Amino acid sequence: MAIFNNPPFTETMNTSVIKAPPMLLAAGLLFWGWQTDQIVFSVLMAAMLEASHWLKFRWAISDREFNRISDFSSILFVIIIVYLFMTQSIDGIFTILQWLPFIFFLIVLAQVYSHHGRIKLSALFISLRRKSAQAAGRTITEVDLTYPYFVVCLLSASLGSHRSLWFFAGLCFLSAWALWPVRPGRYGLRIWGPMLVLAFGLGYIGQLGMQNLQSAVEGMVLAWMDELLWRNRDPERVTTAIGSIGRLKLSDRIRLRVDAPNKLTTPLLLREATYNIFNLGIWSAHEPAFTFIDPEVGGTIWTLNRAATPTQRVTISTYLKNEKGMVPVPHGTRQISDIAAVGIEKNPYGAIILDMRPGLVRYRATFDAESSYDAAPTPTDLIVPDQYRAEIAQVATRLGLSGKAPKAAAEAIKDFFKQNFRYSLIQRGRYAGSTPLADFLMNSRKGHCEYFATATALLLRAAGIPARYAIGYSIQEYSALEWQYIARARHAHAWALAYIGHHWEVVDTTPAIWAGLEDASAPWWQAFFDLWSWGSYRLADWRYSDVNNGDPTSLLWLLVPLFAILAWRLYRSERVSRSKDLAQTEPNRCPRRGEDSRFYLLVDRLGKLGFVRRQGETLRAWIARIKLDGSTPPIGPILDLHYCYRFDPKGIDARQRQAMNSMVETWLEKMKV
Amino acid sequence: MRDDSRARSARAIIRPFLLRNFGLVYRLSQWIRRRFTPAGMLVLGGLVAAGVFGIDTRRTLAFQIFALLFSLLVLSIVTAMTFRSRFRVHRLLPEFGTVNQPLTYRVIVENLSHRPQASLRLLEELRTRLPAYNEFKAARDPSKERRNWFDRYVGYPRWLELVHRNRGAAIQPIDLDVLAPREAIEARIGLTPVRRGYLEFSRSVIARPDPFGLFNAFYATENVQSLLVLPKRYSAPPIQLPGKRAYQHGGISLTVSVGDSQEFTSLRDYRPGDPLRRIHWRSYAKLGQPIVKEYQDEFFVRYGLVLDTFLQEAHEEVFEEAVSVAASIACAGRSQDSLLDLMFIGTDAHLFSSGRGLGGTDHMLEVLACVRPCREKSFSALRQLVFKHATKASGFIFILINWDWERQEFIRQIRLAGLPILVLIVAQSNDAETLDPGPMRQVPEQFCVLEVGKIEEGLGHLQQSPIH
Repeated sequence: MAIFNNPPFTETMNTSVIKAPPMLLAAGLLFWGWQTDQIVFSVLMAAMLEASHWLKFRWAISDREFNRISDFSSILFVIIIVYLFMTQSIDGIFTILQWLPFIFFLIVLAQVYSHHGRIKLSALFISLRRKSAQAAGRTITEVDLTYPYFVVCLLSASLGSHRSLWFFAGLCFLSAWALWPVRPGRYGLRIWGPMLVLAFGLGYIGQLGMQNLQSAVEGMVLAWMDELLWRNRDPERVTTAIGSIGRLKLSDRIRLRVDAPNKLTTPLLLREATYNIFNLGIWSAHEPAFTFIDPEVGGTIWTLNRAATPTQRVTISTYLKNEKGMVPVPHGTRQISDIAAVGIEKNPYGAIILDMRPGLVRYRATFDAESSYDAAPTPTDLIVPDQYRAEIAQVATRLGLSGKAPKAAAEAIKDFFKQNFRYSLIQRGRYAGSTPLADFLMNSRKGHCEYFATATALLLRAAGIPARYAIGYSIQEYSALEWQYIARARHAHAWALAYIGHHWEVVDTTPAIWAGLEDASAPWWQAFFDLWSWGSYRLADWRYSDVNNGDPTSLLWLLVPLFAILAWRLYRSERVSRSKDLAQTEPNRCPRRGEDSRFYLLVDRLGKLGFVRRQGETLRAWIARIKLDGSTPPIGPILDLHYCYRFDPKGIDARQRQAMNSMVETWLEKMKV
Repeated sequence: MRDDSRARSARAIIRPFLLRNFGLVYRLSQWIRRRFTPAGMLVLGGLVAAGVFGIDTRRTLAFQIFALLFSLLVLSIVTAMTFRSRFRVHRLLPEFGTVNQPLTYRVIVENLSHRPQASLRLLEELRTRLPAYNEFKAARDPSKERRNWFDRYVGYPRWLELVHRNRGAAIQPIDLDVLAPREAIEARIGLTPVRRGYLEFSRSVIARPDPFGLFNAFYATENVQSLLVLPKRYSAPPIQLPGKRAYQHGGISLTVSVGDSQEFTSLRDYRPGDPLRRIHWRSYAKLGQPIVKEYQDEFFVRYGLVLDTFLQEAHEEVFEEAVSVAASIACAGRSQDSLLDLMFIGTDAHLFSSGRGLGGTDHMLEVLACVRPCREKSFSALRQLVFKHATKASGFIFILINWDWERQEFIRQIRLAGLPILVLIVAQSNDAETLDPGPMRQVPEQFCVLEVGKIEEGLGHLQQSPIH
């Protein structure tokens, strides 16, 4: 029998010292240098660390010196944190993380070149240092920093700018290298290898899943925010996402449903509001006072403009959160009908406010897309803000807008955007010494619809054409499920309106590809959400029809199954309790002796004759109490026999019983009711 | 003043809440320490860090590290579930241990499977009782000065010290060599008890790491045993008090045995209250009335060793030293004919006698190993116990952990009774020099202050200045 001893016991004995194999640290550092573009430093650092495997000399570094090196690294760390926070704000944290291998390099270097080859944990934590100084005799845990430093290198490398598959490949390679030395001896390569490959495969799938998960969560949050904010659009102002960094993402939730009699050949623009003053990324409307429109006879037709004959019509369904809310209508709407609204208001810029109960609303809009009822332009519609004037003027000059007719100028602007710009939902970086819109026009030349619409409106103004900024939805997705067009939140759109030839024209310069790009980012589960949305819509639609038809009694049929359930439950509970009663009373019932006495017939007869027996009154007391006339046969002897039959343990014999019965019969004969 | 009371009430609310969470944190940390290998803990740390930094997958690639480390750990944990081997573990404990004295015991591990087993670790578990709120509140922190304000306020390190103390010892895991099928190996485990009383061994666990060497699979066997840890003992001189021998009721029968070996003197008539076993049945048969046997009265030197267990103001460390002093005196050599009665107050008044024919020193040490401080009763309970047995005693040795007015008055009364006594006060080093002998001023050779940390020196002085 072999005998093994555990190591001599100490209070805090260290059992967790594992040293990185040769060249692993160098590989980790080089990987970090490659990913973060610090390759020169990483090569130098790797060479210095790995040289310890070949160089024989070592320093006798005392605990106190280790403490000082650790303190120096900590102070350096704090200084860098303060500096980066001051210069880069919260973004500085990522730079700090990238620089971690620099910060801890010195202490790792000291460890690998020290005689001891390890570091006491007290060097890293001042509290433990105090403990070790005061509690003499206690051993403080020692650690080897090579493996933790390797992990730090990997983490720092993840903050690099090379976002490619090579990162994951390198990660797998380095992980395999790091795990091989700590592999337990009982497992051979035949088990370890396939398991590691499996782990890499799972890791790869997992990281893809995490990316998708983030998109999904963001989408859900945005949808929620969108839900919260969308229904409260302000006709007075709108804040654009111009200047926002990162990816602009809107949800896939269905906002509108449009039933058009004919197939749409071009996207139909439904406008919610129009603005004419732009400043610092915010469009606002000058004096957007709303006025009530008088309904026609019947109260379901509202004419906005009687000047022209409408040529097209669509039926729009959307949701109102509050009793009053802006609803989108096509450009050039003449009439809104088939709606039981309390009131409809419009402002000079074409925004419509419906006043009716919240929930689903459906209305028919007849319109002529060629012209609009919007108010005539004012000098405000020609203002180019100062901060954009230079760039706008530069572009206008380049396009030669000043000498062109309004129609030609608008075409030139459309061509300019079509030829030179592309659609993008992602904006990177900041714009040193410039505005985001100027950067869009002069430098990046990519952006989303708000950039295009704003730049177009300002360029039109620079060309002397009154222009406004409109927001709404672009209707282009046909739902085979619903047999109508739908507009999702991500179909929200912005465009410019130009006053050409005495009416307002739509000038939409956003590349047509935008909707395709938006659709491409739709998640795979969108179909399920659409189905759910359609179900909700159908339910709301059914209720809407019912309420609008003024006959809510049809809802009463819903009570039928409820009544049926209630009746069934009552029936069941009754039956259960009855059967329970039976079940409980039957076995407990003990037949009383003498209860078949015929004397009880006499008692019944007396009751029928009007002699009421009091509660608790004995038979004898009762009979003594009631005054029977003299012709009545005496009851006393019968009662005596009855008592004997009822209570005497010996009972009465057959002869006595026969006598009692005959006396009762006689009595009953004489005392008929 | 109002701020102080507010802070106190806030602490009274927060503390129980914290205490509940201490238990959770402790269990979690123990689980992690036992289940994860050092490499596994590094992977776990990396996983947490990558999870924090990789929360935004568009900002960094740390989420890829997270995904990889997570899959490694999941595979490790899944593999751990496939540990199906069987073992037999037999623990061979010594009879006793002593506080702060390393001891070794043996564990025999037998591989019951048909496959060789390598890379195994043996983890021995001691039952751990987590401190209750009152215990935590009452406990003083000996390391308070060296803790930072946060640790002092939250109290987790103090709580951990209590847990460690309740457990009694820490046992390091031991790596086992390859176990051939049906082979048994013996492992020697070393531990150093940190407190008196019973160490309760609960389970023996065989740990096997997964192929990556990150997570341990466990094979645990219930292996409940206990080991008595005796108090620390110092070399103490045999103490001779100038008392007389005293008559011991029941004579030698009390001290040697119950049976025929008594020293018979005469027969006499039965008197009510005589035990039945003393009836001389033959005489009873002859005379027709009960006759009882009479024995020679016995006289012995009988000392009372009185231990003060009333830990109101004194430090727990002082109490432990007092128990050690009692144990040291109990172990010190004394004459064959002397008896020693250990008296103290626990949940009840206790008196244990040792000496000729009675329980030996081992028995007294076992009792002392389990003595707990008394917080429920007052010092007067000890006073009653001592006076109750004062008539039988030749003298008393008092081991006191405080020298307040109540104790001084008690000693004064004992002295007035004319009983020879020795008073040993155990005190912290800073208190020792300022202690006033009080009623013992006239007899300085019978009064000794034993300073914590210098107990052995103090007991040595007793030898140098014999008591007469």
